Amino acid sequence: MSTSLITRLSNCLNLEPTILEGLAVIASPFAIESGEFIFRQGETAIGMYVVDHGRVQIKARIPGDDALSIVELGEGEIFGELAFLDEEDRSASAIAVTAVTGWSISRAGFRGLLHGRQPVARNVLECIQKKVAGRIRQTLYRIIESSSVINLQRRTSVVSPRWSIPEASIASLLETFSTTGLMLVPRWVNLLEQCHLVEISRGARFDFDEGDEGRDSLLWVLRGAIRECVARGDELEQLWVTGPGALGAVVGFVDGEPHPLTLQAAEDSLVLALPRHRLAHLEAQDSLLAIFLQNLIGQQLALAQRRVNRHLGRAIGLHRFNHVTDH
Amino acid sequence: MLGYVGSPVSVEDVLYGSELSLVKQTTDARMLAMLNLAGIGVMAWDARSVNPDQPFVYRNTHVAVFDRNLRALAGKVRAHAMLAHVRGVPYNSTVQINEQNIHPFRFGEVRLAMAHNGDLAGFRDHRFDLLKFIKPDFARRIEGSTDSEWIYAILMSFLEQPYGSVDPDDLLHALQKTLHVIREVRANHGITRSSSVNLMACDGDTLMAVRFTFDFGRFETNALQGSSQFLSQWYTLGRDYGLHEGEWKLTGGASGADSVLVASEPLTRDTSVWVEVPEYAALLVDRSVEREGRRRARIVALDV
Repeated sequence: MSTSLITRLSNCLNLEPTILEGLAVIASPFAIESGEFIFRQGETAIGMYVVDHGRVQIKARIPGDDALSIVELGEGEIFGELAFLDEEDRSASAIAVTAVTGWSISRAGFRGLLHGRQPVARNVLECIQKKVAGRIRQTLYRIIESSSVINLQRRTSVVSPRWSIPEASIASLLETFSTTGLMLVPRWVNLLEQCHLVEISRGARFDFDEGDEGRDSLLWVLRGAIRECVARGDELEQLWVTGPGALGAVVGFVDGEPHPLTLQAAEDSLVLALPRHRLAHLEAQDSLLAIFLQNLIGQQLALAQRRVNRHLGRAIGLHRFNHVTDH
Repeated sequence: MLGYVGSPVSVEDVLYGSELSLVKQTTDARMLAMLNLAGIGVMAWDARSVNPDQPFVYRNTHVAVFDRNLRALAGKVRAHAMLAHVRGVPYNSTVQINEQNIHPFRFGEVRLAMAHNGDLAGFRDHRFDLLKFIKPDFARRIEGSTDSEWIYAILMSFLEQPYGSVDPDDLLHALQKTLHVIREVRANHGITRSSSVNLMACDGDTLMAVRFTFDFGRFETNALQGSSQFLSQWYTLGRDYGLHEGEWKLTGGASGADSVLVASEPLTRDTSVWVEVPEYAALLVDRSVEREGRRRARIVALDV
């Protein structure tokens, strides 16, 4: 059983089988009949699943009590992986299209490996983050292709963002966002040494040229708000707004490809930019801070996945309400 | 707060039915850590009533969850449009709890009513600069002490035709102008603190739900609470609001549906069939001539 699980995960996550052996210990086999729910939207998430045989449909309910098919997955694919990234309830349902067999890997077991600093946990988490980033890109592609465009923003500012070296006093502002007493000012100073400070005025966009260090940066909003948008010609279709303490441009930061969304300041904002290559430096310097950041990145990525699904559901729901003829 | 347009529904079902109904949010709101103890206001439009353009109006400063009169009346009314608001205020003696401050507001013979969630920082200082944007007809009708009633008076003043049926595009235009002048006055007074202006406006036919914050994300150090999350506003759509298969919801699919329910937070624990009105945007539900008078719903960015 465990050899097959390892093979499946090795192919899916592109990891060496030997790295994955630690994961087999916390996996349990499951089998389910065609048409049955593996989990339902709104339930507490208890873990991630790996498909050995069969097909699974991921569906979300949308306004009107309609269903939106998000993706259909087959052998060797994983689903329910957001359970490893945040604490939220299921944002969609998983239904067996055929009889399905596979393995479930519990959140509690995985957290145990993570807290025990087992290398497998860290490797798997990074791969799951990349997988989620890929799924966000797929949903974004559906949004871009959709004829139902909502919430177009026109405001633009020609004022360019101002980049500078952050002063140490910013550390006290960062402390505001800390949910743990471990994150004290000296630790934030370590982070600031790796970052740029960006002052950006309402309406201005983050425009990065090829080779700009900021292009591959994680953006941490300190004050104000940043909207993430799909570019529609000269206009921007706003998908969500990121406020103080939250991260922007996560998808590109995680998968190393250009960030798929256009970022615009919704208010006069102060943002900390951490270039991707400096995260590795930070990890070597202060592992606790690096873990804190990785957790935050995972949570924001899961939130981005939920937000793109909701935006798609919102657009489709309105389109159906407005355009389809009476029953 | 809550707004509804669509097929006639029982006011009792909407106000009391679900596990997180508006009245239950008096003490059990999930998305804002606040008790809403300062009263309730309800307007409900019924096409079969006398003077159908005029809503039933109920306003009371009692704690809504204990209000037996409201419960008794709600069970007798069906409405095709509703606007309702449970008032939450800071817990101190500077606040005025009186009927004049109960939302929704509606000036005399005008059709449009409006409710507001949020507050304008520094309102007591900058409100007199807002007065010049309020027509005398509406300024003299302000009875209460809230910033919300002033926002309503400005909105009414910018409407081209405030007394007849509300033209939805006129309403959107008036909203943009209202937000614009408030932003300018705030800037003149150097006010940068985050201030939420979530609104619902309804004339019995057109419903507008606004999710907007001035200077979102600008907060005083050590006072982040209330500024890191955009104040919520959710909606759902479909048919026949009620208890279906053990769940309070609009059902029957979105296609060809005619009912839209908006609330400051979902009325059920399971939020699956609800979505947020986007930040800095308005959801506008009106009747479309191209659709032979059937309702349409659109989301419009507030480019202010």
